[in-house]
Amino acid sequence: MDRQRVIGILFGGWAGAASLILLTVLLLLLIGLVFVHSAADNMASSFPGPYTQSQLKKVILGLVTMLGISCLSPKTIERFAPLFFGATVALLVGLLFYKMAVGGVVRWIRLPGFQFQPSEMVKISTVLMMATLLRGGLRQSRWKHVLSILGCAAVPFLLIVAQPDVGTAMILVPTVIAMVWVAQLSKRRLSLLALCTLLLAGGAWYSPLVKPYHKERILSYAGFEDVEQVDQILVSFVHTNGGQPKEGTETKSEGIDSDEKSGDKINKDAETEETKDVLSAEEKRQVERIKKFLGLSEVKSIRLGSYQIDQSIIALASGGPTGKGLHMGRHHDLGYLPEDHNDFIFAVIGEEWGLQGTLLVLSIFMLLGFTLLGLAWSTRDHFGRLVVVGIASLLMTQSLVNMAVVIELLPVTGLTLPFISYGGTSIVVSLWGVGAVLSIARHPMVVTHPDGLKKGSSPVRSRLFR
Amino acid sequence: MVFLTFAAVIGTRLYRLQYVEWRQYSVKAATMHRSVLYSPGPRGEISDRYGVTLARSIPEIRVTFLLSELEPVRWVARRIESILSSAPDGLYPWDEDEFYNSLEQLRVRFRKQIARGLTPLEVPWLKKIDPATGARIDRIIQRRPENYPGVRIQRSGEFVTLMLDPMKLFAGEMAIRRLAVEDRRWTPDELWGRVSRAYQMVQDERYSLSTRDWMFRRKRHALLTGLDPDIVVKITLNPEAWPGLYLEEVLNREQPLQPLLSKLLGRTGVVKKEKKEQWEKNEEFIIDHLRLKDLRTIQSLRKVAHHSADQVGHSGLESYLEESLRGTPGAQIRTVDARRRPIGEPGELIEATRGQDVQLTIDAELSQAGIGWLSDTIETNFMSQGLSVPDYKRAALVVLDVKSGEVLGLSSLPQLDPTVYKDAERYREVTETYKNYLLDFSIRHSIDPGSTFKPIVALIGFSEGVILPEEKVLCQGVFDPSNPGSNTCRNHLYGEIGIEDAISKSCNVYFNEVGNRLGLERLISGGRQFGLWDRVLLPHPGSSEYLPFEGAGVEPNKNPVGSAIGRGFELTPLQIANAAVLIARRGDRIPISLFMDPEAPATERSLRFPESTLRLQTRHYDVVIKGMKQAVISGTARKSRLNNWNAAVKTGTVKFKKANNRHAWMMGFAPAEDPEIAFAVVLQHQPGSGASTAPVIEQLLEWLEVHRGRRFGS
Repeated sequence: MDRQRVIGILFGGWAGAASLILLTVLLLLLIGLVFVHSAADNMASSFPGPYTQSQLKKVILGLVTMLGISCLSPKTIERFAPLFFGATVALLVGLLFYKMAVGGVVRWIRLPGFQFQPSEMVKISTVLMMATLLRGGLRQSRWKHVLSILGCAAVPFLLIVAQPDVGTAMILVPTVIAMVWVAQLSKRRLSLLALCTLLLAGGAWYSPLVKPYHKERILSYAGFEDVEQVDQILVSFVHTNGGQPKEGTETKSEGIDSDEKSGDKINKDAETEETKDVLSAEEKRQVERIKKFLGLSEVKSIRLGSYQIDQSIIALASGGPTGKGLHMGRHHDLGYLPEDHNDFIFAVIGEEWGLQGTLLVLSIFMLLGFTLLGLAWSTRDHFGRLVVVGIASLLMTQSLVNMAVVIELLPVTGLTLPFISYGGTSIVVSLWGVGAVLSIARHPMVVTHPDGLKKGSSPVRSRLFR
Repeated sequence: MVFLTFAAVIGTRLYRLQYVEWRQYSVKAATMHRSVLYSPGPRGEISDRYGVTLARSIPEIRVTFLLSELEPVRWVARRIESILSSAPDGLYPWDEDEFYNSLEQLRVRFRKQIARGLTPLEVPWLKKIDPATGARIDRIIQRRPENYPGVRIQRSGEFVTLMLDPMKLFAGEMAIRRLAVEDRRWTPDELWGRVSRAYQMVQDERYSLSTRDWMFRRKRHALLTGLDPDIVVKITLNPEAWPGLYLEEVLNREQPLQPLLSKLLGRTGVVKKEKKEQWEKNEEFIIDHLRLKDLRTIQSLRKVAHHSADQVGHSGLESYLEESLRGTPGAQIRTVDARRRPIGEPGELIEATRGQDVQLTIDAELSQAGIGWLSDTIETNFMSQGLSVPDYKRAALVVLDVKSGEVLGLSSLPQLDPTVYKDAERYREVTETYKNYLLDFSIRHSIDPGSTFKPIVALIGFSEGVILPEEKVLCQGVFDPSNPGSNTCRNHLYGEIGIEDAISKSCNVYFNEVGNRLGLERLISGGRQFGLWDRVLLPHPGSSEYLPFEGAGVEPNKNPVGSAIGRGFELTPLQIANAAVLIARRGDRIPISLFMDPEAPATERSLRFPESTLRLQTRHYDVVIKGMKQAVISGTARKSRLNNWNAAVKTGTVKFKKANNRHAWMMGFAPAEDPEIAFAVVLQHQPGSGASTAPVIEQLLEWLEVHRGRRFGS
């Protein structure tokens, strides 16, 4: 390989979107390193502390592989996508068998010297695989074809849910929908697909795949303080929806009427209040039936997950507009905020850098997201466009969901903040995804057309990149 | 578009949280703190041989106060002084004491208003503060409002006034006074006086700075125990209304059968200075004095940790068994908000663990019955002589199991009045009025054994070969006719007397003669072979030390002739009973045990007991036992009902110059041939002779037959 070619492979194609993507990602990685140090390492220790060093190693590994992938042509990536997808799915299947053998929660593959999370890898491999399958578009496809492609995406989804890691699995849903949409699935089919997704989600609530703690998180988010509150709602539901009104209640209402006449309402009101608190045996049975129907009968305390969120809000909001200063986040530093270096690192940023810091991070993610979407818009290659859209929606959804969880807009999902949260596989795999995107940005398709026009519906890749 | 909308929602929410509402969250974050709640480990239980609890830990709610929270006046003065002193041009020249005195004057006014039933209103405290300093104070108060209770800034014209709400600043005092009113055991002034005393200690320069700091900031000063449950509920539900007051669960030590065995069991209390020093020396910690944050460290220190509320053994078995009985403190990490309410999930918890339980060989029911027998017999002895029964009865009964060497019964009079250690006046009164009141008369207090020593002297004489079992000694009523005033014998008809009659009739001259032949040295060394002048009870299996509170008696130091009839030296009833066991077992020594040890039964332990150096044969014991049996039939105890049982006894009477002042002893065992129990009983300073103790033994044997199914023959 001549020197000119090597230089071309390494340094060619960085102009435009590629460098902006690289810059934003580097900026996010830097912010991540700073805040992992602040959250996880001792304040007294010099930068980088043990956690930061570990993170730095993974960042370097991720960057090197990212640059390596960015040097590959999209065609090569496309060629290896099924293999990569098959390998990651095989790993998930292997984990599933292992889980069935040993029980409990199994998400990691531990090898001497390192460990990784196949579910993180499968996110990227699914995007690549879907891009490969959808590159021909879905406008003219039959249902059978559409369903077979969606079935292919459902395999990793179900395997991740079975781990169980519903948060990671849920990220795949908007990603696949975005890719299917870009693949020009008709609006009617897309609507039908969305409806099916909603129905499936509803059905999943009662399936063993959704664990009680998932329900706790969702109900906690929905604002239920405790079981009693759910009880009260259910009781009112029972009363208003065919439940037999109990005799006592009827007597009370009569009593109030008669007492209003006699002018002695206060005592009777008090009695009514007392009686309301007491459920009859029949009501209790109905409540239990409804709770069982809703899958709530085993939930001990619905408000359990709220501590983390409460602390996260206190930490983030106490930073105010300007923040307490780097390494001055006392609230997370004193250990009130669990997972502060991981899922809740955005709260640490909010505490130490304030509103300006959180908006900065949000803006960088938005900049990255829209740069990626812009790249997708300008990419002529269908495979490339689908990959960029898939990766963009993956990163955008994950980052926005993570932030939304921290500020209590969504229930706790367990998703990390891409490029910033502490974590090996997540960082490296996210950078692989960025590597794939950079590959597409650095290797734009030269469109040729038989009649010499610059646009057409059957683009053919330039020989240069074959 | 979807992403943009989502991002806009997030941005709006961030704006609301971090720009609009951030101050309230900032205060929340600043006032939240992590609190480690330590709990003392319950001590192990002490129970009798049938599992009846003799001593146990019972939880009790105690109100404590934290001075720094209850009494923030000094701190407010100091903080305000610190802010104002940094104002330019020395605008505010007052020092901390002046601020403090000013606040104290406000307190006086506050108390008067409260006493009149008025609600004190907010008052201006410092006026005409320049706006810049005022703004600074305002900022600081906003940041840490909990440091400035009741203080706020009010702008009036171009100046600023520092307003003070006495109801908030003196909320701690209000809480104490309210508590006194609701509790009704103390007046508000008395209860507040406790806080004042604690505060005086903080200001006492004799204590080191770190101790004073600890006493002020972290020490939970005990205020009240035994609270009404209603008050406990009130404080728990609304801790904000009781600033500086904390409810703690403490473990008190209870002896359900008190005063039975109280002297043996000993007492517990809060740790004393000497004990603390010993802990420090042994690198043991008072865990709640440390400022630990993570449970891992707490876990690693627990084994060598104590709690400041731990009940520590001060005497008796509670002290001797301290290491076995003491529990291990627990800890719970809780996050509490500014109102001290635990928030979030229940924190991590290390359960306090109970100390080791100890089971004694004693039969509590028997010991309790023994108290009654002793008391009744003393009363009978006084009343039969037409004397009034004194308040201070001194007596003891020891019952040992001959087969196993276990202590079955320990009864001691006087029993301990439980109020003695709680009331200093009462303590002084009993210790000054009643000699040896605090001693256990069965195992600790020693007196002259009188004639109960004679069987032992006989056996020592046989062992040493100074007298033969068949040898007779001429008793003419006095050992040395040239000195008719001393060593007399008026116990039987004069003439030649053998060992059996000498024991049954308790001839003094016979034993004077044996003592004379033995000499003091052989008498003492022989006596030691019977366990005399030494500690008898085997150490607890977990310890190598003998019970320190067991009496060892006093050795004879002169006059072997007089000593041979049990005068001029001292023994405890336990030692006498132990000697009775040895005689009953015909010289087969067995250790005497107070503690049940399933892992090493007494028979096994006896194998480790050193062999006796006495050169005695069974026939030597047989003649002595025959004499003791004879005592019941035709000897000193012939008038008792003891001949209804197959018992072997030896009576003893120690006379004093004062009339009707005697120690009456009886030792022995039953059944005589295959003994099961050995006993020693003594009634001190009463008019009866040794035989007058017989009702105690009669009732003992009867009780054991009825209640414990033993058979003592007839």
